[in-house]
This record gives sequence, structure tokens and C-alpha cells, in this order.
Amino acid sequence: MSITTFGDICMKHLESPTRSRSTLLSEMPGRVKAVTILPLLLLVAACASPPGEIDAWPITGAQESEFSGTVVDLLCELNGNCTDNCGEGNRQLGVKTDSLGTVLVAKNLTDFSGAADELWNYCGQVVDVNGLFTTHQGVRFFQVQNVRPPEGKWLKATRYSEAWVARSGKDAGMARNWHEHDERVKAIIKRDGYLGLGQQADDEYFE
Amino acid sequence: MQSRSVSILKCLCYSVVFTLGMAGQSSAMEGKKVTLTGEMIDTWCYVSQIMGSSAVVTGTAHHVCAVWCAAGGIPVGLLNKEDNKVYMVLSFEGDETSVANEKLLNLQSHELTVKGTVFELDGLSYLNVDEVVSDNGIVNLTHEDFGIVPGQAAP
Repeated sequence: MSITTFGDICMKHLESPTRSRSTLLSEMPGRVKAVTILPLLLLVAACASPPGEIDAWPITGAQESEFSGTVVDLLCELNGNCTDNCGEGNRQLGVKTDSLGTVLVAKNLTDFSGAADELWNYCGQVVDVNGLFTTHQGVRFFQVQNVRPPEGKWLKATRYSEAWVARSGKDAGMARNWHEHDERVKAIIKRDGYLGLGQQADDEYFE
Repeated sequence: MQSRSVSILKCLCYSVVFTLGMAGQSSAMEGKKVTLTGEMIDTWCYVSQIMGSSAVVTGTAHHVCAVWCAAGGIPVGLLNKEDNKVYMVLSFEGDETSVANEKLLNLQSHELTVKGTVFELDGLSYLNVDEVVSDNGIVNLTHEDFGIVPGQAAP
């Protein structure tokens, strides 16, 4: 089968479940790699694996990892300023481990969103997590893709969408592209423009 | 004699209570007071380089995406001019909300000078911003070189 489109790559990949998903990116022809990131992220979503499995993302040098640790509130860890439940989604969280230290969990599986909603329910508990490490200039980030609570099953790290719908009061159908429907974001763009420099700068640049 | 024994006993009790009280606290780390100047950035795109090199995902080219990511709760960072290090913001002017903080949303891509406290933990630098000394607005005009990144962040 010749590979010419993202869909072909996805189907070929899904038809070969024993092969590592990390091979997905390396199979892409050069011209496919050259297109914008959005279709690729949509492909990732379309090819989403079952709970517990790690998906490849178009991140150079990303390393798959699975480990166990305690869910901690970073502000609490650093300066002793703690809340009852890790801030209930309002604070940045980490997973404290014996082998890796305290890992900042910066990202989840939903586009443009972080990981607090994926973890705060397990504040102070030991969970299993897996996903991708990415490192640049000595800064190491972890993208959580799956969480396994104590004595539970693996869960995809996509709770953000559900939480956004609950917080925003928007229709669930908007959750996939939540960033386009978020009233906070819309207000900032309306005020400052897409460049952040005001409407006049936008008019001149995008004309 | 009896009164002296009572005093010693009281002293011992206070000591035990004090020690237990300290043990109940989370182990606070010693932070370092700093003044930093740099751009408020979307840390995920900067570190992962998922949309291109780090230069591409700062400034005006990446402004809308930076707002999206801050609204979505990805850590906002200050990219310090002096050492080119990323400092993850955990509190801002007394507000301990570091996920989708309204003030931080509105400061994405701005160049700020801040006073605050830095904590180092397992290779990362975290910052509690005590005070914004100055806000120079958005001065990194990357759209002139890179356009809008990602393309979907254009009107």
C-alpha cells in the first residue's frame, strides 16, 4: 500500500497494531511533513489509541515514559503553601517520584490545554502515568497521556474538555475546538487583535 | 520545688507541641529573591518545539496560541532575557491561581520586569511573582519574520 495521505498513514498504522506508534512519524514522506501542524494533530486525535497506550506526537526527541508517583501541588511542595485538594484544578501539579524527582506535568492530550484537570482528583494519591517527555535547553516537560488511579483502569488524559464545558456552560459539541469558543480568549483577541498590537496593526498586516 | 517541676513540664509540653506542629507543615524550600525581565511565554510550545523552533513560538507570531495555551492551563513562563532561562510562574501578585489565571492570560507575549522569588526543583525553575515593576507591552515582533504560528491562529 502506498502512503500518500494522513488518512492512509493512520489506516496503515491501525491495521498493524503490533507495531510501535512511534514509527508513525518516521513513515511520513517529506512533503507530508511540510504541511502545517494542525492536520497532524487532528491525525493524532483520529488515530488515538486505547486507554493506556502512548500516542506518538510530532515532537522531535520526545521520549515515551511510564512511572508511578504521588500527585502534588507544586506551590505546596516549594513554599509550604498548601490547599486541601491541590487547588482543585487551579494550580500547576506534578508527580513526585523516587526515581525522577518531582515531574512537572505541563500538558495533556487535549489541544492547547494543561494537565491540572487530569490530576487534581488524585491529589496526594499514588498514580501511574504515561506519556511523553520533551526536553529543551535543560527544561524537561512531561505530557501526560494516560492516568491510572489507585486500583483503577487506565484513563485517557482528556478530562479538560469535559471540565471546560462544565466551567464555560458551552455546548459539548464545542469542546473539541474549545479554544475557538472560549469567551476569555475571544475577549482578548477582540481587544488586542491577533498580533496583540491592536486592531490597526491587524488591519495593516492581514489586509 | 513543685512549681519548678510544673514549669519544666510545661516547657517540655510546649517543645513537643512546637516540634509536632513543625512536622505537620509541608517542607518549604528556601527561595531566592530576584528581579527578572523577559517575555511571558507559552512554555509547552517553547519547550516541545512542536510548532517549530523556540524563536518562532514567541512574540507576535505566536500571540494567539500563547493566549489559547494560557487559557487552557498550560504553565505560563517568563523567558528571562539575562540567562535565557524559562521560569514557570506559580503565583502572580499574591494570586495563587497558576492555571488559566486571568491576569496571566492578559499578559501573554508582554515583556515584563518583575520582582519575585525563584525556587529550583529537579531541574526546573519556578517563580512566584510578587510585583510587576514594569510592563513594556508586546515588543517581540516575530510575525515580521515568521508570519502567524500556527496558521490557524490567524483571522
